Amino acid sequence: MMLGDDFFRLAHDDGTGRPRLHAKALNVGCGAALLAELISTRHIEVDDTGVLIKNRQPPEDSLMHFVLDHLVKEEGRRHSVSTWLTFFSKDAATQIAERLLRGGHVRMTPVRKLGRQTGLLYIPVDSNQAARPWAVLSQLLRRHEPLAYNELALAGLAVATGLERWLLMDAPAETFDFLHNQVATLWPPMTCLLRYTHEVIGEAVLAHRHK
Amino acid sequence: MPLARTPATASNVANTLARSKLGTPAVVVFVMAAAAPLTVTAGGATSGFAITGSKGIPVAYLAVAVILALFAVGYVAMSRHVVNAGSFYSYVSRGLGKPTGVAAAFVAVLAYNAMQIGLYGGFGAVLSGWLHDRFGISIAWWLCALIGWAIVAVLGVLRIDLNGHVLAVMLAAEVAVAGLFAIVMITHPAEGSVSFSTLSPSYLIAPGIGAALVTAVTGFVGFEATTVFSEETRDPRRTVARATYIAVAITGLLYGGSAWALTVASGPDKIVADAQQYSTELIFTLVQPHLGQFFVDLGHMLFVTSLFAALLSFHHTVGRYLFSLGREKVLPSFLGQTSRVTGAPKWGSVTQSVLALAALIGYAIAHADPIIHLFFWVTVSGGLGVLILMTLTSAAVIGFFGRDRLGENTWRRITAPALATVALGWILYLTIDQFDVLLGVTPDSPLRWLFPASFGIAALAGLAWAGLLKAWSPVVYEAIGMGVNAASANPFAPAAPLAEARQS
Repeated sequence: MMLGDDFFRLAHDDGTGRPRLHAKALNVGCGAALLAELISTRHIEVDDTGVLIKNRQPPEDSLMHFVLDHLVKEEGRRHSVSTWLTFFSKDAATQIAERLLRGGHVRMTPVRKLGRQTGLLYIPVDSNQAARPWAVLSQLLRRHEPLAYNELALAGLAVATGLERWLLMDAPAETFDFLHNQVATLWPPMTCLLRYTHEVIGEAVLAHRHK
Repeated sequence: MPLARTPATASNVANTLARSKLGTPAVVVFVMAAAAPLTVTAGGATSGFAITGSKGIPVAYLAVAVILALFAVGYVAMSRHVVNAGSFYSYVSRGLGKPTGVAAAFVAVLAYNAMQIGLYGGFGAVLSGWLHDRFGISIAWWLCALIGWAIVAVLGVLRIDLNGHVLAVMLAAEVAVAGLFAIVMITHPAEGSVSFSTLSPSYLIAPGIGAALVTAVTGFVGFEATTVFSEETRDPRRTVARATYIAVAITGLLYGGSAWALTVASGPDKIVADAQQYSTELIFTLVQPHLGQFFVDLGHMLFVTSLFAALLSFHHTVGRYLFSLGREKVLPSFLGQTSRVTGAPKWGSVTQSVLALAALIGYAIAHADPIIHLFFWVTVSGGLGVLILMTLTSAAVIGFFGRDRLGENTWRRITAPALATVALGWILYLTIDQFDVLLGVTPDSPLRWLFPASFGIAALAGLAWAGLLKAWSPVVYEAIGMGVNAASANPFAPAAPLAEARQS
């Protein structure tokens, strides 16, 4: 289970492939998901001083390898977590989509407006598989069942990007409390990453320009 | 250790991020377009002459430009050292303490709402007047205003701002038309010769000047937004400072020159009477014989679009303020929610729209005059609120750097902010002292106290609220002024930030 893939699936409609989140939250969320994958495999840790590299062995997945390469190459520059998130947010959504494409999980269709191609949509090949992260997470949370690390990390990403109000639509307040209590128990490097994710998205709302 | 090993390689991260950053011209365009120059030269200045009866409006614009440039020195210097740099209240809470900060936040919400709602009066009246004169269509001003309101309300919730290129073209056209009108007016003086009398500094000590000065301050509101861009500029240290001074200088010269040109064309002795007769049509009436209908129509169109741009811009400003305050839980936290799909500060935007709608309906039912009672009265009251905020911010700069110099020189830390505080405080005193002149009511009218008192009440409410927050929820109190960076704003904040903050 790849955290980036699952977050991408959670943040897009399982049938049409259209995003459920606004562009900034989606992009920063995908960037955070890529860093979170490396945290899960203990390649990196995140704290208030920045991203710390714990294991330089290249990961098997080529996208994770690519992300780690960037982190290693500019390790000495000590970029802040916010800077890294902003940097990876530029391409993260496309990169994850392309990984899903390579695995045969999605297919590409052009988005046309007035006959001109304005963008790309990645439509899930199997909508049951695409809906799985949502279904599992939503069910576990609504039943107040304990979550494994990967599910908890995914729930954390949902909270940081503002997806949780959709994920737990019409759920009672206790379920939201349960979710918040659960994500607060995440591993400190992961909570730290999520804190910066939430902050970077919040700042984007205050910024004048919307791209 | 790796620092020494890779000194000369290009940073991929820095290069990628730099590509999307703004330079000085872009920041100037964003800020000036929001300030909407034609709104001020055609609307604010003429209403100022008509209602305050002061001939000193032109020199007041120039004097205020100088004072605001002085204010900008300390303001921009401090913006480099605070988070949430776009909001006055975060400066005040860092420099003068958190209770004053909350008071400033309440004043700011009231002031920017007043600016925005007042502009609907101008928008409705100008659009309805123009449609009537040119096309013979009679639509009540409040209906025009409501149409504008509906568009702003929808764009606000969808978080659509005018495109940068559209704004730049509109701004260039506005400045060109305002400049052209000014040149035409100066080359056709009423008395056969150009009179410089309304630029005389002697007006600055004449009675009634307070009203003219706050009218001028109102025209500049919006320039303070340069610091919002500090994180988005290529060189935050220099770009923001440069853009602020350029914006103040261009707007100051444009407003002062244009207001002076009005007095030249109608004659310094007749300007007040003419402005009272023609109101916002004065500038068009004066240039029509010399330029022809095309430019007058173009001017009218740009006047309407410029009012609309200002409406939308102030709507977003209020939305962001409410979002920021909702996030840090100083105001109810639902205001800090964003729309999942558009990322708009949904409830902040809706709240502003509801307030504006209530005000518009009230004015329509009361049959109040849209230009005098809504556009002028309410926007200058907003201007008064922003003046209070700038005075407090100026003092806050001195307080902030008093604790730590942070590498800034004496001029930026003390001299300029002190001069600005005194100058702004002086304008504030004159304004409140002469508020009856500003409103054009008799000195014993209760209205002259009502408008300034509303800010006093907002400030007191803010102080009281800060006290309650301190007692009830210390985590929120500790983070006042931090905006989206506040620990109280973040579900992933460390559990006990308070204990750490107290220890350090």
